[in-house]
Amino acid sequence: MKLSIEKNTFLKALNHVQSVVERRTTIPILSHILLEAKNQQLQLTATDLDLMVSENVQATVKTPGSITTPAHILHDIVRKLPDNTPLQLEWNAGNNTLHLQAGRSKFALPTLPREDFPITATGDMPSVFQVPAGQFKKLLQQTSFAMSNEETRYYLNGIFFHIGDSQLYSPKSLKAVATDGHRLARSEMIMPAKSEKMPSVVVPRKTVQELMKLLEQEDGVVTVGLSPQRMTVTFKEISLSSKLIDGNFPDYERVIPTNNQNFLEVDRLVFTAAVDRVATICSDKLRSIKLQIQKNNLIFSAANSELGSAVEEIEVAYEGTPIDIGFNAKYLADIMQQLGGKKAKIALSDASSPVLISTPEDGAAVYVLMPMRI
Amino acid sequence: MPVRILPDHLINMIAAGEVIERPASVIKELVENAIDAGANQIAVTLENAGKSRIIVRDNGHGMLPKDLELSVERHATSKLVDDDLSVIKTLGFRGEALPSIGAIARLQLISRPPESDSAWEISVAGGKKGTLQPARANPGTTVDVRDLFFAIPARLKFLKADTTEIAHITEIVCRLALVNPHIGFTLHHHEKLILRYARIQERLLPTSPYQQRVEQVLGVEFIQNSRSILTERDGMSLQGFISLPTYHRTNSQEQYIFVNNRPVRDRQLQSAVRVAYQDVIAHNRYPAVVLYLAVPSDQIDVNVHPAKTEVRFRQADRVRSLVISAIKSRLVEQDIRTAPIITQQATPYFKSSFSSKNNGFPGFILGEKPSSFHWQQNQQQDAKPANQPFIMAEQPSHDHVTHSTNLVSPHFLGNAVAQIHRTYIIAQTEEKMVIVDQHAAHERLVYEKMKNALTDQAIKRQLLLIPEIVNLPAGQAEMILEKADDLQKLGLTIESFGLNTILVREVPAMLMGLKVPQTIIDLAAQIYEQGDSWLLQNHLHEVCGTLACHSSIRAGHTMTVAEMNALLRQMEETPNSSQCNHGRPTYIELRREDMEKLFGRR
Repeated sequence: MKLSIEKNTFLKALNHVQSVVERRTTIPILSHILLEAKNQQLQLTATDLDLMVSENVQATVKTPGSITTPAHILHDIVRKLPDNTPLQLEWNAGNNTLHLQAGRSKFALPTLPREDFPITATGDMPSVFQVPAGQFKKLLQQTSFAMSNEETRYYLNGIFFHIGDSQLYSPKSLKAVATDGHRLARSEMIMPAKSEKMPSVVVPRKTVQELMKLLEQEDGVVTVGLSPQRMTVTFKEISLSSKLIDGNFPDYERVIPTNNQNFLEVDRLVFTAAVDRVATICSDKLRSIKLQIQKNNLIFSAANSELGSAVEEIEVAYEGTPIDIGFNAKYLADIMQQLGGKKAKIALSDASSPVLISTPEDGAAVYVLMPMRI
Repeated sequence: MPVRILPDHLINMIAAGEVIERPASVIKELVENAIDAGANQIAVTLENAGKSRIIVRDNGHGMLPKDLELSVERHATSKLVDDDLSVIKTLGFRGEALPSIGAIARLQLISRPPESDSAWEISVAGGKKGTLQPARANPGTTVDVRDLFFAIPARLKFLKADTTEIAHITEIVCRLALVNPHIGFTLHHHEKLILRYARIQERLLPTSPYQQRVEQVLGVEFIQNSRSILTERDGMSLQGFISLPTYHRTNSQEQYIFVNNRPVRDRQLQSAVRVAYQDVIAHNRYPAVVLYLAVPSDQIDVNVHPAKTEVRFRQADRVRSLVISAIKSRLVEQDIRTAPIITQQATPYFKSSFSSKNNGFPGFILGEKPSSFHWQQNQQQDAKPANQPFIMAEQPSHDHVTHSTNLVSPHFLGNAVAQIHRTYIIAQTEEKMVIVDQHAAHERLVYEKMKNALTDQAIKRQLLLIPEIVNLPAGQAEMILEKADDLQKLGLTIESFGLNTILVREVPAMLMGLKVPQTIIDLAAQIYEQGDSWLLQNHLHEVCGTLACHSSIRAGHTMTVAEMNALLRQMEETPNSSQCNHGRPTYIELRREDMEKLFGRR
């Protein structure tokens, strides 16, 4: 294998794939990245056995071939090279060193045979459809923060995607849901063509995070393939294949309140800033704040035996029953940040029932938050 | 095979299997008999760790010939006066010990009531009773057991080395001695005296007979490192001695618990002790305690276990809370105390280096040195350009070398003089020098403050959007649900959710990352086994502990004299401030007289 490639092109691709590779692993090949050169292209592939990402980049290939080398070292080297430098990669069969040369820098990297690199067979996806990258990205961004981290309810450690009835889109919508048992985030988009038969799936946490990174600067169209066990996402030169979480996501519709009759409307930024200020008084572990909701008036308060107390009042639109309710300030802030828009609408029932948070400007995203007893 | 009633000798051998496990069990039964006979002097002699011969001699009220003959029959006893098992005031009552021993060994009893002028003897060998014969003896009873287990040689193979068996016997005698201070005990192995506890004559001594006996058995070190307790409540009384938190052991061996003068190894009581100490002692260390619990005899069932090491209380909760509150309140009272043992352990280190042959500047003698003592190192370092700051007090009244009369400090921990190694505070009062570990001390202060805050306000609870469902082993769900109210106070709200399943609705907001199912399973298991659980408190306190550790000043932090004095004053006001959260001392003291001894002034 012998090729030359421009530094920035190479680095961008490396940035995309290397974060799939775990920093610590017991199987040496899993810390490697697969480099395959042919047809004036270099393909980079990284995997952790559950998630595989590969990307094609332009290169001047003199001799085709493929080899693996440690991903993080390669990434660090390329990162530190001066911009716009051409880079030569050379590996000869029978030799176990990969030579990298750029300007006057020379590196010799260890390799493992290409045959050892685990490529997961993706197989045919029974359901394949296309979504605009922007909308798909939005689904992920608006829900990912609520994913659980806890091992026992592993089926909550990701985002649940399914096709469901919708009040917003007709006939149906593609919904994304995440919850950690304390709060829930749901977002939806109009059902993409040919997706009505797609299985309901839970996409694992790491895949969600990698996808968000890969899609960051993408505004084209993304092709999604789904089977009950596996998901593929392809766009431009990138393709991703991930195992899905094998478990049933709970019937989340039941926990989204439908009968909350007290509507509080606030300026989202004013509200967020007040929460942030009042929560200064909270200790690290216990970020509880109290909301006293009265007619067109909202009083935030927090108290801590060590750090003192704080009170802040803001003007709101509220005509319902006065309610005193407690929340984890961090949860409130997370939701408000994802919500976007100028106004936020909070629907309440009483101090111990879930509240529904949304914005009139974007009906697609809905958040449910459980109060705290304080 | 037809069903038949077993012959007596078989029944006795079966009973012996339960009651007589090893030589120590024989000693236990015979010494208890002697105690029940009102003896005030009991002598035990062993041969071959009791395997060849055990003689127990007492000066109690003895037996008349007809009683003697009956005593070796099964279920024959003089101790159940009104045929009422609910009122048991003696150690024995089952009437099984002597026939059981007779079934598996060669047993000889010689007895003479004090008022009688003749003694009689009877023998039983392998279950065969001999005839009653006149004998010569002093008043009292002598039981002579030879060739233990000769009738069931299999059991002999299970016995441990002589030293182990003797250790078990010693343990039994110690336990019985602790609770019977008015009886003198001796224990001989062949000709060698192993134990001798002189009879404590109550009127002659200023301290309680228990204290005298505890000192005889556990040594003066234990008495110096413990505090006495005495409480009465609900017709129950608890007295005894509890070790300071800085005096601890690797196992519960040194926990001697007696219920109505009966030695017991009761898990409920041991767990109560544990709970009482849980906050001041590391979780894998055990305090040493001697507790005498007196409960009205109708409130207790001792007929639970053939060897009677377990008891049942009619009101187990009250007993438990009595033990916990008595110990806890005493521990809090003793806040400003570090075990003197630490100072005593430390003193030799001063001595060893100063008396070394290295005549000039003190050399540092390697050995097992407690890490808190690096005096000699420090001095050597200070001889060079100091790389460790040594901050001197600037108040003129603390001209600490010469004007010792100016040193009167009204405070227990005295006035701060200096900080060394940026880790230890040196303070002095008129009669002592105090060395404080600044991190350990401050950590404790912060921790206590946080714990108070925790109990002052109700614990905040996060409601769960999706309640957790936890399956539990059979029977445990009911037990944990009985404690639901207590758990709610700690922030955990649970409900029944069908058979063996519970539903968790709310969790303590402080424990965000809490693994709910595992915690519930652990809680339930602990409640099932021990009747109560302090797991959740522990979790909460752990969070406080971690926060305390992070928000307290570290070793290596330079402190001004004002800061040091403020820390000392706070320590004096805070309960439990003499140990850090892990049971290590926060300060040690060196008395002036000890210092004078070190320098040969005394």
